[in-house]
Amino acid sequence: MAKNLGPNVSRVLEQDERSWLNVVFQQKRPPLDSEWNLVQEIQNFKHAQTIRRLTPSGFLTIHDIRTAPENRDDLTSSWVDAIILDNPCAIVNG
Amino acid sequence: MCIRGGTNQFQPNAQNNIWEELSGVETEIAVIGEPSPQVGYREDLVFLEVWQQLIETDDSVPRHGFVQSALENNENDLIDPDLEIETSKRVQLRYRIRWIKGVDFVSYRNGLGHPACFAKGSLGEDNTNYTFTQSPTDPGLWTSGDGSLQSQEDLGTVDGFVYAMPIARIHRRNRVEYSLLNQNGARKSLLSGEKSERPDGLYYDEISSVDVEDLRHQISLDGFDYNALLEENIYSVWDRTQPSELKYSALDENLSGNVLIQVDGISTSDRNGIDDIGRDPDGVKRIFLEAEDSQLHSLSVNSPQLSGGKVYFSAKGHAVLGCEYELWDENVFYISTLEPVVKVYDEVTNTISTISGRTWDNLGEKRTWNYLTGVKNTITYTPTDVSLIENKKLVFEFIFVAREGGGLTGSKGGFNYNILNMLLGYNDKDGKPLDFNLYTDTERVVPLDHYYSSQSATTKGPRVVGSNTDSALARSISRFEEATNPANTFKEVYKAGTMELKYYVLITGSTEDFIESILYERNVFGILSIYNASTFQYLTPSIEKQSGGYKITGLTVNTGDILEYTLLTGGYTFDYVPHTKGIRNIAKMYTFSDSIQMGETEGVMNLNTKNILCDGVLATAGFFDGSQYRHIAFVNSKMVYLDAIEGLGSALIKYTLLDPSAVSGQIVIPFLGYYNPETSDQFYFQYQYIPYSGITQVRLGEDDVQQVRVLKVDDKVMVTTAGTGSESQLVPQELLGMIDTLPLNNKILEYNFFGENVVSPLTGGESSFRRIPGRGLVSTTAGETYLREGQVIDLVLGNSDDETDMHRGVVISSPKLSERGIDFDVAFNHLNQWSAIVLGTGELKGELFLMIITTTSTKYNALESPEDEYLEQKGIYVDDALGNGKEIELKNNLTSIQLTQKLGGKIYGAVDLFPLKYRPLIHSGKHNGD
Repeated sequence: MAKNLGPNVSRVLEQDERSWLNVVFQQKRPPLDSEWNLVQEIQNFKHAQTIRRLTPSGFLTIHDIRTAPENRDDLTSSWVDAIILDNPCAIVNG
Repeated sequence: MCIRGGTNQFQPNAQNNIWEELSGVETEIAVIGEPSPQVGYREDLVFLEVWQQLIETDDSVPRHGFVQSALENNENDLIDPDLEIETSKRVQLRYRIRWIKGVDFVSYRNGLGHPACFAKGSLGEDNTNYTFTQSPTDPGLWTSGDGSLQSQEDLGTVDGFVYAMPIARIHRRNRVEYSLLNQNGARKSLLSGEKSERPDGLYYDEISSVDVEDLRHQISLDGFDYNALLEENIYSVWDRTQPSELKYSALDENLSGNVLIQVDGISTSDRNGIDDIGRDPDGVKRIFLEAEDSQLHSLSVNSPQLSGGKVYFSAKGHAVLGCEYELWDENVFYISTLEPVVKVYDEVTNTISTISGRTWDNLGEKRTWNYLTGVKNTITYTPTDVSLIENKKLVFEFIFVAREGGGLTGSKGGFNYNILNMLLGYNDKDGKPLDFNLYTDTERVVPLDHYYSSQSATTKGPRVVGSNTDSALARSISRFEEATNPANTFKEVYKAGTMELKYYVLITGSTEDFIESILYERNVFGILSIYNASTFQYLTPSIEKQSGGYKITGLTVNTGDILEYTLLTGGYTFDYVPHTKGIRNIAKMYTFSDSIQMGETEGVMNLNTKNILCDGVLATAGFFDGSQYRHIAFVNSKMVYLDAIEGLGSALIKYTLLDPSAVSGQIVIPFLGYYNPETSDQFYFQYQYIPYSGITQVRLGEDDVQQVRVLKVDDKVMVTTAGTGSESQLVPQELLGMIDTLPLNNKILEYNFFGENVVSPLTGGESSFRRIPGRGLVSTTAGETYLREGQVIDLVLGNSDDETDMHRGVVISSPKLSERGIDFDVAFNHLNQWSAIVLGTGELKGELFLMIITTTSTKYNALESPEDEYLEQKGIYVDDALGNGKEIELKNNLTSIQLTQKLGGKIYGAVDLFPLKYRPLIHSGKHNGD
């Protein structure tokens, strides 16, 4: 299904199941908005495919989830209903 | 798409200063969750939601696309300032961290997929037509929407999808005051500034590390090192630091966490709040477990009754002959097949001897009277020569086996007692505290804060003398003798037990002192040592028992010196085994006395005749004089040294004084002995424990099959020879240099379902647990089960039967082993563990796990046979599995490097999967061999 890029694009070109390698622009023929968008789509798709083949979705950097300190002297009201994630970095193969 | 996290944030509507206080670091994300529930319990899901959004000229541009970021948004620069009209739009990758309350993690291990967990997308509101489903091609990804035009509009995303990944499962407490009937409650808030009433000190609005299960999956672009994962996670299993799913308490289904609370006790009267099946004291039992276990039971007989040269023993209520000794409640016990020891003693000649020639009939688990067949299985003892026992004083030492779950007549009851008292351990008989072991400790520090009765309730605490504060350790009952010896340094073998108190005294000029008979609400049974902390010398003054305490005279001290007394104190000592939910032994301090004549040097005591609740003694008190530890006694109240004491472990004791008694009178010896609680006893306590961390218990149904693919088999096999049947428990000499000796402690053994690290009662040999080179579980028969890399194996739940309705661990194509402790009807010899990194399938798709297979064998040593049998375990295997030991013949040949196991089609043992730290994830098809 073509992406929804809003009402102001002429059309949305799909790259699904087409194995496009390039968009080839022609002389004296200005590129269309849909063609420019397709160029990016092809590049994004290839990049995503590369990562997707390398790994499933998940966290590349991961540290322990921090919770309220066990030392009760360090406990503050800021810890009400709270946890902290430390510098997470994730890959989402969307 | 890649989400780079950080850029601190907090949930909408949160207080703005929270981030400042919590972190202030831009690379961290402070997540503020939903308020805790009023009642009951709740489990919440934290997850990452990601989508692609078309950005218009008037849209905000959150930094990194993190819509909850506390940082200032980026400028919307879509309109060129020279053109002043829109020339293009953008697609931004956006994300938020969401907190969903009330998620079912039993049905949905990752939380996502729960039917009340809806996608929001760009709209920022729950779209109730859109839930998440796991990607069929990406095990770490959940999606909502189908990419259609409708989805694009509904979700407000460019591609018609919203993507999600789980982050954390969080258990929440309710806001009702903690009690035994509401163990998941806490009345106090973090904001109150007051101390929580909960024994673990947690607040209702606090999220502690014990409340969190990390659901994130770690990934790696260059693969994982399976060897490293194996090593790291094996050790974390032994250390009980393995990450685990949150577990539910058996006592309160509202209670879950990584650390749980258990309340327990013994009482004939029911109380509210606890499942205490089989916790009724009867003056005989010392075992109150869900697993079967055995205890020594002494029967003292003066001139035994004989019939036809035999002594008859029967269960209570089943005697037919007038001469029968009715011994046991057969609903609670049966008699072990281990032959009872028969001892004869003479208090005049001070001799104790064991009768060797004998025949025992009908030992073992048999109904005393089989009403169907009319067979009467009375136990009989036939000495080879009747004169050996006729008109003699005897002690029969039976091994009573307490049936699983407290026997056939277990009842349910509970407790409704003061929380603080239960937390500390308490008894209603004399009001004294209990000292019981916690399995997470090898040497437990006893808190004295609540016990110093001479202070007011508000100022209670340990005494402070100069720079010294009184302190106490609870020590082993199984190695009590050593525990009372301050010179010993191998304390790691001790389990907590009777208390050793460091008690400080400031000398004010006198060479005398007085130690009260009750300190910290415990009886003082002896003085183990007196150390002058100012002159660094051990002292050997005269010690005399007096009314109300011990008088010390002849102290070598100066004014201002500080004396450090090491005192033996205590009342009841409980040996508690959390994973079998119960007590496997109880000990108590006794003082037994006898008459002694001037000049005598030795004597014999049958302690069972002095107190029928004591089946045997474990240790005596002693005194350390700076160079030597000696057993002690009191003759006419004055402390004297013993040269030796024989017979520890039984009721018959022979003592020998170091010097002949200078006077005639009474000799008193302090003992730590078994204690069989009476019907009037009421003990209760609570403690925290780390629940078992395997996941198959939760994740497998009765007919489910879980397949895993073996990725990396450990090159070493764990072997313990901590058994009870071996004559030699040493590793062969030729393997010594290759053995990676593991720290042997209770954690390891208890993980392996053993109750404690014991000295073999048969051999006196030390327990051991070693990891030796060897590739495990190699089948030599084609078509049979292998544990080898690349192999896909099936895990199924074992068939439970009425007697063993167990829910922990699985076995491969066979009934499962045991959750609740050793249930073997014969002595086992050793235990083996094979481990591997495996790849999950199905619901566990793509995730790496540590698989541990635990098997046991009945016997091994070079003298017996290198080719050993497996156990037939009563009540554990289903009927058609019994007697099929040949299918799982174990061949352990420790004379070679390889430890191999021949398998049939099945492995009889416990198998479980342990999540790895950060739950590493790979593509299902991306592994060695493919």
